[in-house]
Amino acid sequence: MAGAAARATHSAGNHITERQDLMRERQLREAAIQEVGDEAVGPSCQRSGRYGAIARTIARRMPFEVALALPAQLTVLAVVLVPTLVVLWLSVTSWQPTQGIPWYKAEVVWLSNFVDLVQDADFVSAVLRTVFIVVLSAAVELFLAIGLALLFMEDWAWRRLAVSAIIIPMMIVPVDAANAFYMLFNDQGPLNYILSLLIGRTVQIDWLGDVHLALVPIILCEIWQWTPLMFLLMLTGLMNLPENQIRAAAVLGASPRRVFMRVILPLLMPVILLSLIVRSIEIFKLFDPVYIMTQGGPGNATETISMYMYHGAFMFFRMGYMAAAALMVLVVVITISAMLARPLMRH
Amino acid sequence: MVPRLEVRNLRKSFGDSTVVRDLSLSLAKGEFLSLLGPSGCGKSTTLSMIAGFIAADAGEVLIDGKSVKDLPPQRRGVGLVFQDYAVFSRLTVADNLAFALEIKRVPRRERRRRVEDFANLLGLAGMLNRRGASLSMSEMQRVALARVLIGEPQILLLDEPMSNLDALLRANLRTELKQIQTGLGQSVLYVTHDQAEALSMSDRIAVMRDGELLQVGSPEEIYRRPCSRFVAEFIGDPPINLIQCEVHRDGVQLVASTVRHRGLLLGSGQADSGSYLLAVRPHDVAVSREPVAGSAPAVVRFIENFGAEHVLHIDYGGELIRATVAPGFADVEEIVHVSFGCGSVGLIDLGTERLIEVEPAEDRARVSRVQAQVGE
Amino acid sequence: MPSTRRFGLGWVKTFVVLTAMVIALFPVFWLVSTAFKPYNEWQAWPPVWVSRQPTLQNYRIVFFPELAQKFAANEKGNLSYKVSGSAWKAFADSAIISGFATFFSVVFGTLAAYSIVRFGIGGTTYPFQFLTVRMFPPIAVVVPMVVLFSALRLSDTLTGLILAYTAFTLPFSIWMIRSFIEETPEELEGVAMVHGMGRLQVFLTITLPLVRGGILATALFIFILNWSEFLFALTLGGSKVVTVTVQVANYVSASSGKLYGVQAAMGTISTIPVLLLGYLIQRHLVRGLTFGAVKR
Repeated sequence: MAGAAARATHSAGNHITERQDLMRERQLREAAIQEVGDEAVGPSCQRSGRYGAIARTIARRMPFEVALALPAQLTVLAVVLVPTLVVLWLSVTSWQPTQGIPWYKAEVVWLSNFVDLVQDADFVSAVLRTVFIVVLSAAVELFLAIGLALLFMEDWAWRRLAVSAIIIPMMIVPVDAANAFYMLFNDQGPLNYILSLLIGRTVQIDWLGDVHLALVPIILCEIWQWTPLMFLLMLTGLMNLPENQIRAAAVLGASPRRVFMRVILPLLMPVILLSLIVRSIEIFKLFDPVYIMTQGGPGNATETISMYMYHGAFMFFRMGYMAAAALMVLVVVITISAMLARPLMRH
Repeated sequence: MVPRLEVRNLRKSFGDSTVVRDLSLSLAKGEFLSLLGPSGCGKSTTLSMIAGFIAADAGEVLIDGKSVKDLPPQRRGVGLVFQDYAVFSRLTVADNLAFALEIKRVPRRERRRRVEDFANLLGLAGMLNRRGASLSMSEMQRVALARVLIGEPQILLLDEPMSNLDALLRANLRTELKQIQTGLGQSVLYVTHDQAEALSMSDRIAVMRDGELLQVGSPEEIYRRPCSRFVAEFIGDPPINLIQCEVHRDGVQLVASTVRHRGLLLGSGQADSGSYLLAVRPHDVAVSREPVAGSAPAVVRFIENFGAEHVLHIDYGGELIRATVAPGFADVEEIVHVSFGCGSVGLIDLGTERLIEVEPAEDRARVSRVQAQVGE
Repeated sequence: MPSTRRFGLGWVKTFVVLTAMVIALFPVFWLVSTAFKPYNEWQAWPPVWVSRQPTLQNYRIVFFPELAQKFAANEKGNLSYKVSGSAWKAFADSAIISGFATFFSVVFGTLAAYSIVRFGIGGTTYPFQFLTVRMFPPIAVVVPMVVLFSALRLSDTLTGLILAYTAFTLPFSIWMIRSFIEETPEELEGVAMVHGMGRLQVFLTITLPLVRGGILATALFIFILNWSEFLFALTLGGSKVVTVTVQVANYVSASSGKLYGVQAAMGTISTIPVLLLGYLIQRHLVRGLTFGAVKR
């Protein structure tokens, strides 16, 4: 108001003074907000003694909104940023805790860790294996989830009960889910028995001990546990679709298949993309079921990136080398997430 | 001739509440019929039953004389424009229009030609490549309309298609829609709660309330001879005046007295002596600056300005009645002289709320008209 | 417009839904069923679906590991039993760590979320910084954290794990609570300000009560995450501090003699709290796991 009045006294069309006015106005407003904020922070920080005085000074100097975000920010800095710096350092050293020298005095080998990693068949195959698991699991989960969710679009008598039953896997502690699958896929476990009944002769496959098969239970466990989440996401997406567009397509004569392909699927696309991204990020970290079921074995047939690094760091104690691996993974993940994060959240 | 659409004794309840009761209706080929009623009167449910989204509890829907009971919506030959238009937001305007044609496997060239024709008809030519989500409400309405018309439905069902638009657009679209409908000879069932829309576009209007059909007739009939108090009050803007009166019969003539008038000659009608409500449209209230025969003085309390005409709110014995006059006719707190009567009033039975028609009795009617003209 | 939904399913659909339910429930059923089986049924062929002689023996072993030694000696099998520490201890550790970490995460998260929603602190990119944390594979951070923690004497301590858990659940709490705060009307705060309330007071008395339910849901969600966490617990703790997930892993890896029953017993009790809380906040799970992007 005051600004507007002041502006009116200036000659019309004088842009520079007008902008100065606007700036002054904003400064005044911010100062006013600042005062209010100080009043609010001040009393709550009143403590006796010298520390109280210091706290008051800090509170007076610090804007309210910064004070609010500070604890979260400091925690993240302490637990994420500082270790990242340490990783940067370690990745150019050959440090192993078993060498007996402190990590900050480790021998610098510059980029040789990275050169070795690119040529490390175990590392490369762990990366490829992980990518394979991500693509396969996410695709299967999505496919199953959409199919299942379409059945749940209509209302029927025991629908809620069915939803509650179907989402039970995602409510289980992942380690326990892996534990259950470990038992199911035992060579004398129920799965082999069911297979025997189906085929008609005794099957006693040692799933987890077979180099070619050991990934199967792990991937199935992952799919079993997280298809329900995908299902819930798809169901939420479907239920929030504009119902009239679907009806309109039906009145125009579209078959259910065409309604799905031309109307439902395009409308569902944002939710599908979001779910794929969220799930891919999670599957990329895959560790728990691998550790429980195979520890990466037999050989390294089921070694994911996480498992590979766990072995390197905690069994072979190659900290410098693993720091380099960690750094490479971090760079890739941060790059990808920086590309994906914003379009993801815009939906 | 078999009507295009016939609805017989349609009935629907949800739980305990009956939404549509024994509704019968017919729509001739090329006719524009409005289903008019306040929200919650069951008109949208009726539409859904005709379209086939919900099944009726009882009754029949016939299209071209055949029952469509077992047909799903897409096989009934109806086109439906939804209240929210339901334009496919992820498809382009062109794809929206071509949707029905694709399903019918119309050849590509033919398809493109018809899309262009209908785009031109509805003024969509410039936006064929835009996505549904980027359209404004009025553009969506045009797309929805074109998308349905292009499939040449037997019956076009429109569910409150104007309620999401602002007033100016609505007025323009009313005439446009009517022109397109007559041009194509399209049979239309138009659901609305806006009496102005119904009056301006329809060949016939069906007024609904609480799931029941109250009256079906031409706009003129509905406006001039509403069958009941509800219809009289629902139709017309500014709303009709209802004035308490005592009627006694004098031969064939009915004579009424109100708080301010005595011996008002109404005309002949099927009414006994007793208490009634006198129904007078604001346009039929004669107002003069000087007293005339049969007029009563009254004070103007309030004036609504509609530009081309003003509506006076006149203190008529403690109750305000509305009268339409030319602008500048009177000022607030001015005294004017009010009269009405023969040929332009109806009587509403207080018990049944039915409207009793009053016909002007020959000679005296003329006298009454003359008085009114003098007044103006 | 009335709904077009019908009641009843076709038999194909019914079959598919029932199959999905069976697949979803079977591993859980097997876990529970095995937990009550006596030793000789653990690995029977054909498998025992439901034991005729249910026993609590497995649970006794889980809670009182000394019994296990005797058990191993009594049975004819070659059970080599290596797990020390009881489920009591694991439950206590998990409860303390998850409880404190949840508390800190939610408190810090609420404050930061409020700052982000109402003051737009740090601009539009700021919240993404927290999100990035969740995209890190924990193992990549664990390597340097182990180094740092041993330097700070935080290895294998409750404090260390609480710190790690707090940081790694912050993205969830900030984004989830943010989505709840965004649903509250800002005008209400404006009105309170006009009436002379300070900003802290406005936050505490106006906004906080409005999002109380959301904060509670977030807290339970984060508690579930913390309780289920395994990798940090394994690498940053593991010997003095043992969470339930590590305890489960210990049973599995100790079972060269295949202690299925005991393993299943530990599995069932460790998952029960999560299962109960999960159904309690079923409505909010989707919101949580998508960082508030998908609401119901």
